[in-house]
Amino acid sequence: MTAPSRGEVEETPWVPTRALGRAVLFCGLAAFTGVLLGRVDLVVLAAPFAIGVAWALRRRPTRPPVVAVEIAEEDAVEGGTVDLALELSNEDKAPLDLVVGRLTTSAWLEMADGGRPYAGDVAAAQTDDRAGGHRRSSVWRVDLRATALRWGYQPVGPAVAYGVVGDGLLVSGMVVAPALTLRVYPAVPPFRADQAMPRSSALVGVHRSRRPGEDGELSGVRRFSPGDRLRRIDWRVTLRTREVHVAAFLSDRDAEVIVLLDVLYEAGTSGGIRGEASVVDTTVRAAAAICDHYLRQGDRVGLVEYSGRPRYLRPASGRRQLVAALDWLLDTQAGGGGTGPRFGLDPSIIPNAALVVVLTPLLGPQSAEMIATLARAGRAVVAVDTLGSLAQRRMSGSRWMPVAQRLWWYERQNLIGLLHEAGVPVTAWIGPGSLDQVLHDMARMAAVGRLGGR
Amino acid sequence: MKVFLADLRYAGLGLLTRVRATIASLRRTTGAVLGLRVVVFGALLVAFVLSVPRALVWLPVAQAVGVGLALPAALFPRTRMVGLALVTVGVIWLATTTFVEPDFSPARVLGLAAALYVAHAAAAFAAVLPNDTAVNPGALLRWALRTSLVVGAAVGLGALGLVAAAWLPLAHGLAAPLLGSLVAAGIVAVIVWLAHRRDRLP
Repeated sequence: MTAPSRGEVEETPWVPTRALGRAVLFCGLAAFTGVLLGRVDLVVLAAPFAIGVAWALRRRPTRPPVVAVEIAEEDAVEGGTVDLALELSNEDKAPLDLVVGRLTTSAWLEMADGGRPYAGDVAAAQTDDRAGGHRRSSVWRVDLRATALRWGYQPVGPAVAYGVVGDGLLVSGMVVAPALTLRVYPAVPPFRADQAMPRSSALVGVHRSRRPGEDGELSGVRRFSPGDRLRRIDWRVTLRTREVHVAAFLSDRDAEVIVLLDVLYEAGTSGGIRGEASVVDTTVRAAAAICDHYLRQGDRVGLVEYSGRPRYLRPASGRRQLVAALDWLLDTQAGGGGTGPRFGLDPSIIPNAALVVVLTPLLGPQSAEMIATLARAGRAVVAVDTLGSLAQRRMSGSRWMPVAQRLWWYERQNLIGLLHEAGVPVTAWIGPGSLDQVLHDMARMAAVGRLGGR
Repeated sequence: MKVFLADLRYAGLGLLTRVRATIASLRRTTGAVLGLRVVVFGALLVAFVLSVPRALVWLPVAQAVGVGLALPAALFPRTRMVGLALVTVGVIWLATTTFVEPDFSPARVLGLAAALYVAHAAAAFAAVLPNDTAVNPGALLRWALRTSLVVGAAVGLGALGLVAAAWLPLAHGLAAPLLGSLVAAGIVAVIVWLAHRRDRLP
């Protein structure tokens, strides 16, 4: 549970409402007219108002109510529920007829009750004699539940409250509890990439490499040569051929994956987890899925944001890196496409052996240039198209709009073709298996390249 | 002309947006808040019916005036409409009892006093609650209890006053000034007491 956010308690004055003025005015008018005209009935009309005001104002508090916000968990996942609480308390020795409190939240947190205000009465604070006369405030706690609709840092609060006494004759000043922040992690769509990596690095990991090694996948049987271990001798082949043969294995290695998020431009409107995904939504969710998959395999994963606000998360492996990557993704913001990024992506920050997965909507020439630069620098690059069905959507407008859209579409197809020619496979993000075909092709191409080199 | 039409279209869209927002806000209105406003409307309507001459009660014009007084007060309890409705009903009562029906029953005046106070109290409570507030039923119940107590006490005292005035015909001319002075003294005392307490605030 996070530390609750409490509103500042100040000695704000309780101000009379229009109802108090109305009661005094009506009472005074009726009583005055009654006296003037000698009419008892008018005095009788004034009586309830006089009694009501006197009764209502017999006890008047000096302190306003206190409001606090609590979040049960510090983080949530898109689509998950979050328990919140609004605490309205009274530290005064006079009871409050009503405390009205409202918790405002991010639009991406769907409150179960629709985000309505709550009103209830709160008893007077109790004086605790055992604690040296310390006053213990009375608390009215409203438990709320919200559904996180979109990833990101979602504000919970501010919460505002005011007190009412005298049945609506006096109200306190507004008390505000500052907002807390809830981390909502992107929902990780199911993702698998069963194909081997085109390149691998250190001599640990789960990916079958093309290099010989120990205890990996069987690559064949060959003649014994000096230095081979005796336990590797394949006795069946040795007896059949009457020459000593040993089994040869390929080594298992880990891989380094750099996920490059191209968020120069945003397209589409985010509808949260239940609605349509914008380009940034697709990019962040796909990045989370790729990170989750490769980090669970023991690979090293790094992240780069290509936008007007470039960022870089150094590659690392393990559970801690997954948490760091998910935290890093929460700060992703689209923008910078109009002016272009303030940096040219330096290929040297991307290791040679790394597989670079570029999540890009391919909406600007800068993106294509960046991908081509990486490919020319010898990096294994896969472009994943994050524009998805938005590319096919018909836009309303003048009669020239379909023509313009068709031209744009051809231009984009041409760009994708150019990337293919530059050796960069482009694939659409479809969740599980999105990368399998391209990784398979890249592995084959890498093997052919090595054979040709011999 | 084209620009004017475009402006008109935008103005229409803005109006439509506001209407939709208002409808959405009204849809969120909770039962408790609605109930309080119904009480304001009903109490003011009862007060109006009790204040107008018997012969005019069933006239459509009178009914329209009654609804015209009660409805704005119920819809906008934070505005001066409530005070206006209370004073108007008081003036109608004064006119009715002065010119048309000088003889009225004590029950009628006590009923009118109770209805006016209930309308005022419900409007005061409704005014501090946003439309979509979820109100704790206990708080509403305790408010109803307090209002009933005030009404009961006022009706009791009023009945005593009326009986006393009827019993002592010689003192009839003195009853109103005496009772009125008492009420006025009470109001002054409350205001002085409030001012005194405010000075003593820490």
